[in-house]
Amino acid sequence: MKWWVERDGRRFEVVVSGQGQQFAVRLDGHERRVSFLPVANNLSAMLDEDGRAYSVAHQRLGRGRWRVSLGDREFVVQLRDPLEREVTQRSGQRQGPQEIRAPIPGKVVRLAVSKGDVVVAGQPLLVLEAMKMENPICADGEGRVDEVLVAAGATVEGGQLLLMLR
Amino acid sequence: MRILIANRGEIALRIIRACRELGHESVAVYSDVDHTQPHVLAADLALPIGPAPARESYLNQEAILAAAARAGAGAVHPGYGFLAENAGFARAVEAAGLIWIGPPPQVIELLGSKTAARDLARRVGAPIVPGSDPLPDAAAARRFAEEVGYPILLKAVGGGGGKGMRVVRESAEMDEALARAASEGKAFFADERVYAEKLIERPRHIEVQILGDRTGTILHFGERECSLQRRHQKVVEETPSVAVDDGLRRRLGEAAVAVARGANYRSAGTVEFLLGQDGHFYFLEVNTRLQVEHPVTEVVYGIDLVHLMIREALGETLALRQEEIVPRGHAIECRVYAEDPLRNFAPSPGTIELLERPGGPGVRVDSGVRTGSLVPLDYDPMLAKLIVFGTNRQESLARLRRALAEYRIVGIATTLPLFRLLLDVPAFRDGDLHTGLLDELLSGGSVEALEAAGSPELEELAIMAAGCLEAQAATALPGDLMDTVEREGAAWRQEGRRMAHGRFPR
Repeated sequence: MKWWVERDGRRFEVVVSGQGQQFAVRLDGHERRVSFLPVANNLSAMLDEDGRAYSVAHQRLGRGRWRVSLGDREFVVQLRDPLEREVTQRSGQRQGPQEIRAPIPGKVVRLAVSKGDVVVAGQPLLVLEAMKMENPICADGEGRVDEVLVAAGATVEGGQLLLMLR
Repeated sequence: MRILIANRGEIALRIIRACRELGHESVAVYSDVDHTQPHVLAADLALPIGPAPARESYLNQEAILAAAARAGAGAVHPGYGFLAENAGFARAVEAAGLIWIGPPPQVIELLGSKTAARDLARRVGAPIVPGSDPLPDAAAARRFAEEVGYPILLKAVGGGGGKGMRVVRESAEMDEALARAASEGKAFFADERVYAEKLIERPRHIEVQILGDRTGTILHFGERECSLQRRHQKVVEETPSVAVDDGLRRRLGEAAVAVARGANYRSAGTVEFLLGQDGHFYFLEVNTRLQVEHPVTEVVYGIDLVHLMIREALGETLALRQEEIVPRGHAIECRVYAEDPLRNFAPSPGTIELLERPGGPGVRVDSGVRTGSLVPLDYDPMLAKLIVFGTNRQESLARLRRALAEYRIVGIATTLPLFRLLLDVPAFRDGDLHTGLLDELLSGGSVEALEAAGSPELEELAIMAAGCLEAQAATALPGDLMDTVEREGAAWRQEGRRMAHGRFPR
């Protein structure tokens, strides 16, 4: 299987062959063989040929997206499909409706805009409260508020659609 | 005695443990989203007090008092937060014929007023930050600055949140700064009066643990350094402070005890000070409760503050003398919050899928969660406190690094990566701390970038691990069903999350 990852603004190829618990991983042309063994839910052991062993705690955040904690560090790794490069590059340039989704679950404390308002990049659209903290949700780019799908006081879940910008 | 704990999470569990050790029965209370949390299952009795929102449950005085009556409790421990510093609740507890485990209501009330506490400190001779009355003009401001020394801080009388505040470093800046502070005060708070305070630059936050009994004995248990704060919230605490020697410790302790005595204090409390770079300290306020960071004092002074609070409330007198109270070794506490340091500390409620706790010598974990625990979005994000202790600061730092590498929480994001990063920051390693340090570090570069820069080998291993995991998942999962649905934001997925967060479908 083949993906690419982005590190420090550069793209590296990741190729994994093997199955079950034995894998050969080629990262940026350099290959290493590892055993990857399940220990418990969300916990695995990774052992390399030189006898180094790591306990790897992990969580799947989405397609190809993993939160990985090993040693004394934690990373979010996004493995991207070779085809995805083209798609994301094109979609990045696309103009059109912009979805504003809740990045976290919480309660809508107040709405700062209403339908028809013109907004600029960075302008606060609404304020979400979660765990005693107020988190402003801002516009990524400029546009006009096309639809407001929540009301002040509503409880929303992470990923829920809040507003549409056009 | 049957003791009701009017709290949740790690502190409720902490107090339940103390009750059990002392041979008292414990009564937990819980909101609808908390009914299987560790504090509920650890107590001898547990009673529901209402729906998830805190004001309908953990802040609902009537519901808590009704639970106490129903359980036949004889005393109430409030923990910290929620109703811990609510004099009205303390009064209601006593009016119901129950023992309040904490300082008396009139003491909570007196010290809860910042101005009354400051007046008290001034009266008993504890140093306070020099301040002026509202200033009539720039000449008066200059006279004040020359008296206390530059720099000074001009503050709008009605001010707050940084509005209407101006730093003045020299006489020439005074006129403009005063005009601006006044106009901001007028614009934001409809009050153009401005007063001045001496500016304590790069101060440390140093606080003193006190404990008093009803015979008037008041003891102090040294200092805690809590200078590492993010937006005025403590993040890491330690004792002893590198900036406090025996002489300063004694003077801080005497000032703290003088304030406490002036207020007729009893039970546990904390007197907070700012410590300037020049070694002068200034009274800030008194917290009339058990503090989050009390464990560092416990391990270094060999005491159990919750035991002592309960025993004092039940009428015992303190059998300790001040000369016997000496620190031994060094301890550090890290507050583990459900916040994502890689995403600007966004709250991260959800379910804990995996929790591996550190152990071994010199490690204490006060945790309110376990594998499978739901972290609701209704309360503050505190999950657990990691406390490490060693014979000296260097040893506890090494132990902290070791313990952090053993600690794993999966399912929600936590602040654990932040502490791992902090260990590589020279100012933290050297104890060269001030209250603005962490915010400076965080605004200087994202935590993620510092992490990656610090360990390219580990990042490589993490990418390898993700590759193996994705390869395994490809054969185990039926395609990418979940992801597709997530992107489309399907209603059933939202409802599933709603239930996972402990809420019923709408």
